[in-house]
Amino acid sequence: MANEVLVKEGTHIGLGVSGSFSPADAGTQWVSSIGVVLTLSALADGAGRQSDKMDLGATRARRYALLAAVDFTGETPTSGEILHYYWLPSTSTTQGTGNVAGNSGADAAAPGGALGSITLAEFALQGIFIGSFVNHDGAVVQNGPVGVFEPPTRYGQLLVINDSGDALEADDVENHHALIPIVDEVQ
Amino acid sequence: MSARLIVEELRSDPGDRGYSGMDDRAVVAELTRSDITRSRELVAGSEVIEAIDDAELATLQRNARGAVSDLLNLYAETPIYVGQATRDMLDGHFPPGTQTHAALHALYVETISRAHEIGIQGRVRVGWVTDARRVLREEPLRAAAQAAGERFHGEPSGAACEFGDGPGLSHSIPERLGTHLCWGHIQELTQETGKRALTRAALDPDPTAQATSVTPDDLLNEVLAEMRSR
Repeated sequence: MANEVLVKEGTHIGLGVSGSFSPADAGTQWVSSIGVVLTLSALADGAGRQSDKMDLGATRARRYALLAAVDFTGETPTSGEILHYYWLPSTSTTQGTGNVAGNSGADAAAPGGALGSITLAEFALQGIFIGSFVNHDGAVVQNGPVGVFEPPTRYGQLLVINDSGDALEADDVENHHALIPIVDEVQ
Repeated sequence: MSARLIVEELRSDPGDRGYSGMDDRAVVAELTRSDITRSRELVAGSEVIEAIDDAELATLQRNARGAVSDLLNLYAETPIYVGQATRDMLDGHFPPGTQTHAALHALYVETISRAHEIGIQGRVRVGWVTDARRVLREEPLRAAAQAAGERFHGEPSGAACEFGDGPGLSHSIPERLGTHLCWGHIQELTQETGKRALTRAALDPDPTAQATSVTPDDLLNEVLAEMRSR
């Protein structure tokens, strides 16, 4: 009898700012802690942010799900607008080595430290599109799934582009994202 | 490629709009203000139909009415090229002083924004302007780095590196460390951090527990403190 290959969840990876992360509402909290720096405070409409480079592990899941929680408290996002997400694979554990467009590998306004006169839109096109989060017009924390992707390498960064219609809340108390390893397991 | 269009707009400011003295939001407002009147070469057939006054159409002689009707029947669902010949023909049927003449001539012009004029459709986002300005600020720095045989890694903060002169320009990474480092020292810091992260991961019995950043803040600060104590 053939074995079934089912899936299980690996350890969730939280992206955000650990020193600020303290969601008031458990209903929008994807993870309990932050392991990878991604500063989204006051990210302007039309602006992008790249995370620190992260290590998915010497052995990693084939696929990862990305979940978003973005804070529009005090802001006026436009219903039906979008936040875009891309994966920037890397081949090196060293932060400044082997990164898409030669970027710094650090949490920064995107494209941070990239080579050439590259715009954010051009930088995004060089990444792997994960998916979009379509926002509504509520001035609240909004959260939901973005997509599922297959990182081709062990290391990489998340790129977030805010096309929501307004800036994000000017702190990282609620802004965070979760990468969920979808681990295949032979039964 | 709207950001690239904005780069060129801000670089040359061909309309002397004074972008250099505006903040990013003011630039967006300036780009999206409808203040340019230009001639239209294409109008929808339905727009022409709307512009023609029924009573004035009825006064035309049969042949002229037939010609106008043919034109509109032909183009009702498609744009009409309103070149000078077409305008002259319509003016002949609907001379100055008629309602239709005024309505048709109102169709021949449109008021648009500068963003529309340079090819940006829809919303102009603040972040695009911010990004375009970064590209422009970095241009001379890239050229200088290239001339010096260095790689360019983003615009410098203008502040001195905490550890003194080193290779590359100085950068501000306040969210991470609250200090300024040159690229060489950033490399040194992250390389040491990377080694430590690998060591820590190697000691961790749970392979999934290493699926976090190789450079968490506490680890960076730990290594930074070590570099400061040298």
